[in-house]
Amino acid sequence: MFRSMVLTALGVALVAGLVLSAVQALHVSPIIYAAEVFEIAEPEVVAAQSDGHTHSHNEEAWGPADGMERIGYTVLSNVLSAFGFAMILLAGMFVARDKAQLNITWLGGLGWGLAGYLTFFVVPALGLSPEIPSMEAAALEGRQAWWVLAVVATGLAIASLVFLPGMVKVAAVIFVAAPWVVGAPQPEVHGFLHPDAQAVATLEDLQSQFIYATAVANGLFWLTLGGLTAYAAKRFIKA
Amino acid sequence: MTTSTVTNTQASSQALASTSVQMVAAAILGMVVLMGVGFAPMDVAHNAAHDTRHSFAFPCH
Repeated sequence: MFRSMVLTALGVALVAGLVLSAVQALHVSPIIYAAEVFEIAEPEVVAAQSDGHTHSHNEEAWGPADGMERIGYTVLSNVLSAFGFAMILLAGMFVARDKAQLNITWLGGLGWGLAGYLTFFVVPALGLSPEIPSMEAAALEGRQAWWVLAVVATGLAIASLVFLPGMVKVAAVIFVAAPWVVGAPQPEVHGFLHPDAQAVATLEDLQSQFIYATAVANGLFWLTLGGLTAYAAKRFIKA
Repeated sequence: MTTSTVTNTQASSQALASTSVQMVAAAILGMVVLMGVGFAPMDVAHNAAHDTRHSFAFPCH
């Protein structure tokens, strides 16, 4: 069964990842590229050693070249992410079927997709706004930890509402509240540190476009992923 | 009769346990792949998955 789950998730991920890549290429990536123009290069760290020999410690790490190479790696990353999400959805769908007699249907899959959208995008993004390059943000580790907290808590909140009996459903309130009691890490300075006021205005405009574009792209992605995962699970996984 | 019922029960509970293990394994595999694409701190992983991380609103930079 595990093998057919992996193969099914791969097939689903290929389709959903390509759907995301198309929407992203048209509406999301152009905003990232436009914001990158304003990125201020970090000062190069040059260390002078005692023998007078100097060399740079800040050699740029490998990155894909702009153009097709960069788009190629983005499509690959999208498909891999979609695979990860599909494996989690499949596990959830089969556990719900076996423990709570929740049939797997493509319509139900749209519900799973909506739950995934709320869990992995909407709620984390309410605390940590989708960011364009060059935006000030709190330390990465703190934001990653809060993101994981928001995802786990939202997943548990939705599961409580759907699967717990009667009044016990109110447990969901605790899970909805948890990330906000902890609070998303915020940077000391908000917005953009670019010295040019015109550039800051452009970046702020790009930032609001980016929130809208990612909200739409992720919504389409999750509905596609949820519906397809359920359809493929029913059709290709026998268990 | 009794023996076969016991055997069947054992077999089905083993199958159920094995299914549960596979579900947990599937979810863990999914999470590991996501962590790799979305959270791996190495510059190379970050640069390759940069636009994906921004698009999913994973914390980046």
